[in-house]
Amino acid sequence: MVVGAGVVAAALLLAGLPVAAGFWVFGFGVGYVVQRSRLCFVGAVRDLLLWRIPSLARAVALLLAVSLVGVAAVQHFTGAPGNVFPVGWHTVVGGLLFGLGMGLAGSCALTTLVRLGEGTAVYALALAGLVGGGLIGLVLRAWWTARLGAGTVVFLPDVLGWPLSLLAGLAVLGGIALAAGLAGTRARGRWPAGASASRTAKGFRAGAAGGAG
Amino acid sequence: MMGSARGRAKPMGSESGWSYLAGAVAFGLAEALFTLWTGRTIGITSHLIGIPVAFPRLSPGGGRGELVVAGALLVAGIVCGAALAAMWGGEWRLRLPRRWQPPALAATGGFLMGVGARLAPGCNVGGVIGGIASSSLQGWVEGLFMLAGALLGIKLALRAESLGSRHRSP
Amino acid sequence: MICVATHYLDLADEVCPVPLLRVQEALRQAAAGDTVVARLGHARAVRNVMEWAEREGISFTVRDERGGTWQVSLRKNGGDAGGVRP
Repeated sequence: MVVGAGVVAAALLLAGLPVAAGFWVFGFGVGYVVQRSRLCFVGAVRDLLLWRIPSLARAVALLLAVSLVGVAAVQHFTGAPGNVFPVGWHTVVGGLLFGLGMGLAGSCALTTLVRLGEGTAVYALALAGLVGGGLIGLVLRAWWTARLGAGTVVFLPDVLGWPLSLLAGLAVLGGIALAAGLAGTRARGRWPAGASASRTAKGFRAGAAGGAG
Repeated sequence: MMGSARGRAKPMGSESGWSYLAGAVAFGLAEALFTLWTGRTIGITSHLIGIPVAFPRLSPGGGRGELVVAGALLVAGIVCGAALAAMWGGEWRLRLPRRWQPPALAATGGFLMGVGARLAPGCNVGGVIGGIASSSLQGWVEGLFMLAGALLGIKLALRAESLGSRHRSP
Repeated sequence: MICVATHYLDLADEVCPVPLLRVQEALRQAAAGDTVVARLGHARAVRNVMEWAEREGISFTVRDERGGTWQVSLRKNGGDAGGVRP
């Protein structure tokens, strides 16, 4: 299969499509890394919410910190723009919708693809939903921009300066990792620890007076 | 009563994956490398619906057509890379759902993700990781509300699977 | 004389968070000393169960069946050490 991947990359290069070849190789690497390391962005939230397990949340905080420092260096020294999109109410609504979908499906766009690769068929439906929802979202986005505006681009280093912007970002991420760890050490032995799940524990042990939360 | 004999159990055997932290560092480095090459961070959802995403550092020979093909290949690469990783790890298997709830949740969740990703704009990778990494306020705002949405979605998924109330009335 | 039972769960086609919730449910219902043997079908679910069990001090073993399934055996400890709240 590695050979197959190499053949695809070589064919694309020969066809005069070096960008496509690079994207193929890059996607391959990302899929490999995420499958091997079992990274899961829904899991980061769910493990904390239901069981107070902090390891994935801390890994996501570290992922964001490494990305922030790495991309900031690239932006600062080479002038690459990165992904700086306008912020506005569309971001709030879009974020909520995406989060809701993530929670329901148990995967994000990336892990949907990774699990499909692993052979878990149910995520083909999530992929179909992503495509269908995406096409409808395109229309919605056009309507929103025409009616409610496109929002404003806020590049934090323009507002705070590079040192403060980086420091503030890393401080927030460090805070998230710390808070996740604290939530994890406090709640051992209370399983299941989620609000709905603790009702389960209470109900099962009929007559137990103490709440499990 | 609690915690008297509690400690770390000695585990025997494991699954063969890398640690979460190794994956996190590898992913972060990939983000930086991709930005260095293309001028933008990694995105997923726009490639899923064939939007020709322009990359400031790249001048594709085939124009918009090559951008769409490149995006599709990024997506295909992720699926194939994961398949290879699973095969090498000896864990590839066709898994079919046995109940109706997971397919229904996957389709509904996927649809909501699709809509949200175009509005925000960006998924958790292109919008939140890419946005935060690019020091863009949009990434932080989207991340915050994505977290709120995910908390609700996880609870709703438990309810749909009736896992939250199984034993309330034995 | 205490009877020790083994409870089997086939969760190979379940995706997160169902596997860990089912394992917890089975352990809650098991008597002290019982073993819960769960067949899991996702590495993520295996790690999920392992992390939780390790934190709770529940002794367990994992066997990779090679081919996308893992068998995790967890022993419900005596007394309250299994993490069960009275």
